[in-house]
Amino acid sequence: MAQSIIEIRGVSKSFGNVSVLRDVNFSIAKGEVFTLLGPSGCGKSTTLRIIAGLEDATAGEVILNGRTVYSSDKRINLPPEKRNMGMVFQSYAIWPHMTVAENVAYPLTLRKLSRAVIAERVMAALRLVDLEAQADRDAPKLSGGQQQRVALARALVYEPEVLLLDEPLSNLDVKLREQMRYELKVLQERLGLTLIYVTHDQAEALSLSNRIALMSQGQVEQIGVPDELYDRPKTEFVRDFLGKTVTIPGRVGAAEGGSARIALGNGAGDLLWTPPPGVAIPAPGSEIKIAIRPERIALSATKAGRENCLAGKIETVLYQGDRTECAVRVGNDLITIYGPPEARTMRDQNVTLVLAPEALTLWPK
Amino acid sequence: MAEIALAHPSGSRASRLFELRTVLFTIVMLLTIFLVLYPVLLIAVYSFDVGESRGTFEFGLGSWRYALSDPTMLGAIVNSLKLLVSIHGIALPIAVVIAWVLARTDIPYRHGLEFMFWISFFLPSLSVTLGWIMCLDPEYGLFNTAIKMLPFVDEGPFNIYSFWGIVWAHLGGNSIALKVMLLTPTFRNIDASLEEASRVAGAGRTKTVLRIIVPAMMPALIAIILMAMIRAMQSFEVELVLGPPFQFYIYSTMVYSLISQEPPRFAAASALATLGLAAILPLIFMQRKLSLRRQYTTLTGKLQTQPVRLGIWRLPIFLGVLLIVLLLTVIPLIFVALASVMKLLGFFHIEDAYTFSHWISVFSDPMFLNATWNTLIMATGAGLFSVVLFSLIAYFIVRTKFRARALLDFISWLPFAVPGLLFGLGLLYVFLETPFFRPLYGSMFLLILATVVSSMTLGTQIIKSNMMQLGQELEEASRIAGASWITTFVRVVLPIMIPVLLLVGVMNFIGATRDVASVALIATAQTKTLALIQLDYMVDGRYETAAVVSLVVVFMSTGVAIVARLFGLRIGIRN
Repeated sequence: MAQSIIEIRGVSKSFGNVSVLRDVNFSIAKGEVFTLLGPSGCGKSTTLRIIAGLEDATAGEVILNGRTVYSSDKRINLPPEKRNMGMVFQSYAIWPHMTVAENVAYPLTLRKLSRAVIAERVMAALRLVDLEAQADRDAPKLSGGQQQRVALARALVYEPEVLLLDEPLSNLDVKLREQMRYELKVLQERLGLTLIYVTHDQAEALSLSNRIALMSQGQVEQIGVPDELYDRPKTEFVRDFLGKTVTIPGRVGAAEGGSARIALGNGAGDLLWTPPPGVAIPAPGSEIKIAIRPERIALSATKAGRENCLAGKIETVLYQGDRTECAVRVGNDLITIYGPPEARTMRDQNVTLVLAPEALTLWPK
Repeated sequence: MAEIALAHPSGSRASRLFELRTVLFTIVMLLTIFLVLYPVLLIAVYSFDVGESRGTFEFGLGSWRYALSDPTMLGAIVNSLKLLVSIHGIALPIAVVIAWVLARTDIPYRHGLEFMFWISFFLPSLSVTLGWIMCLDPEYGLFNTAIKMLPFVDEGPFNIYSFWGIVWAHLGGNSIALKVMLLTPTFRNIDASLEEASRVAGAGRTKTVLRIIVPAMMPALIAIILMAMIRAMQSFEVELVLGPPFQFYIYSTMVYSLISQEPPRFAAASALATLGLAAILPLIFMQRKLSLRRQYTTLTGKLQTQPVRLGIWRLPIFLGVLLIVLLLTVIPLIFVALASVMKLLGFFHIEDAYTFSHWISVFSDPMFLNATWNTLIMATGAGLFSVVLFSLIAYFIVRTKFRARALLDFISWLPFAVPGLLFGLGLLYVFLETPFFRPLYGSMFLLILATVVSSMTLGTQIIKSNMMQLGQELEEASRIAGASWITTFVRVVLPIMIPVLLLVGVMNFIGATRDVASVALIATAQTKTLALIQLDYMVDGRYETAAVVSLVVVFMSTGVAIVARLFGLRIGIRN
């Protein structure tokens, strides 16, 4: 891995007996987009604020570019203004008593640069976020999306080593959010920025990040590149937090070559499961759950007679324009899958579900 | 690399900043203890001093025995309670109805009426009382003389110098106006969907009011009743003018008369004052508890239900509310103005009945000019000092994690409950009995301190609630951008707070100009303010002269309030 710019070592935080972070470790490379993802209250924002110096950890170390900025053992605690990081807040935190340009110039005036240099760099930063024309407007008069850009320009103008973003898009409406997500990605790649991004929105995390740390109850559940988390989740929490999952209880049957036949508990038949490399087949007779993403289940009108096909009957159809969401009765279970738009009129029809063999995963019951 | 970080022990700089903050906090903490807690404590201590000469403390329970057994002392406390019940028993129902009409019906000129109540709140109650004396004095009150002109009537029916006269003066003062100002927004902010859900569920309008609106308003009503009770214990000047002519004392005027007699009976006054404080303390705890809880149950809603149509009652109800608000504002002021330009009020047919001689003599009186100057110094000083002190107190309570900030919060609440006259008494002890501070006695500085303390609760609360709304992220963004704590406070917090600080400053200026109770005991002949000489004139029965001074006070308090409002300051009170 390239040289790491931020390292978090054994960071914990607790209020009295309540532990909000437990032994968080990760390191982030220069130019990387690293996302802290998780439900609200999982500790992702606290982690970010500890990196920024806005909150103190109870234990652990934060190392920025090889320099310890926080260490509970060595009693080092650099205040936020000495860490040279940039941050974009959920509320944007645009100072209402300043114009757009004054907001962006503020960090530079603190660094005692000459007036000419400040003016030049402010305009450059505003150009970056396409707000040159608004430079002299009062900041509170801008729209939410524009305030968001001001916050970004203000955080970038002094070229911080790391840019921290705390749910930066969550206050925007859906259309604007998607557009800003795209612009942020383009900007990050163009400037080679290192981002630490906090969000609870999985689509945002999957589309923006180089790597994701998925957190739950103050702990990191799994760190990895987006498709690793999505396709090879290590825990049920990761599996269920990212996307949807269909699970069917079953029992491991006889081994067939490198695969195992799984008898489904709902009486709908059986499936052939091939373990990924390095994973052992559980002992025959083990009670397990078999899981698959709904988009890896195809809908077929005719019984194909192939492996990993299940017969079912469509009970409910929700039409969604580009696709349908069908609840299919398979044995005793109701399974939700995505069908083509044409399935809109297929209520009460008997169908065959084709499950991609490589997409099946096995979980303890 | 970690060694480099150690070589620049980064914690030291942070802790130095931390120290600066700690030093400031300690100063503010000690100052508030000295200004608020210490005077109150001294009152209690001196109630046990039975020494004859000043400067020597001699312990004894004589004053307490006196305070607890003398019938006039006990009578004063009973009178306080009787007045409280009578005034607020009448004012509350009237205010609830008016507030509901203003907030929820299609009454015409709603904003104009509300503005009049706002004015009424800012009128000095002494001026309003003066107006009513002109009308209801048993001898020559204009209403009485008018009625005496009727056949078979030898005696006017009204007497302002009576229990009900005092009640009337209070109703005309701000007992009603304050409640209307507090209740109207509360009625208006009830989430319309609560009402609509009830209507849709099948309840009629009356049933909805009784079963949804009234219960939803209950916490607000109780809070306002408590607030009214606490404020009622503070009333002083109206009773001081109207009470003594018929030997009627409440506990604050009794404390005052014990101290202003020769020789002053400090110990007895202190014992009585301590009793009063003990009576108020439970109220302040209840009030605090309620107001803390209310933060979670405030009723807010953007949507409004359609106003209730008054139908044919629209005009009569409008006229009724208009009459009430005129009685609170314009009518008493008209008579004050009339008195100021009449040779003798009520004598319309004598030679030169109308004259500016009172104006001329008052404006050429050195005492008046001195008092005007004093008032300006005091009000300006109070405005400036309070802004600095209150914003620091608010900042420490809202934004820091010092343990002692809970105590600071409590101290900032105390002045709301402790009557201004008692604070004056306490400060008197601090400055008379402590040799180090004695030279300050008799200076305007003392009066400034007294008025600052008396407005501490409201001012701090306003700044506090605005700071809470400010959102921590604005400050955090500044820290991240590279600014220290103090730079952030100066360049981000203060500029954003400027309108609020201005508001608090102006409110304290206004409060100081009309304040009587907190300065009555500590002003000397040289440091009397306009409100105090107005009081002197009224007690002496020189009503025409008092009227002139009164109008100047109205101009400086209510006038400033109106000007500030024109400039967009949202001056007022919030619960």
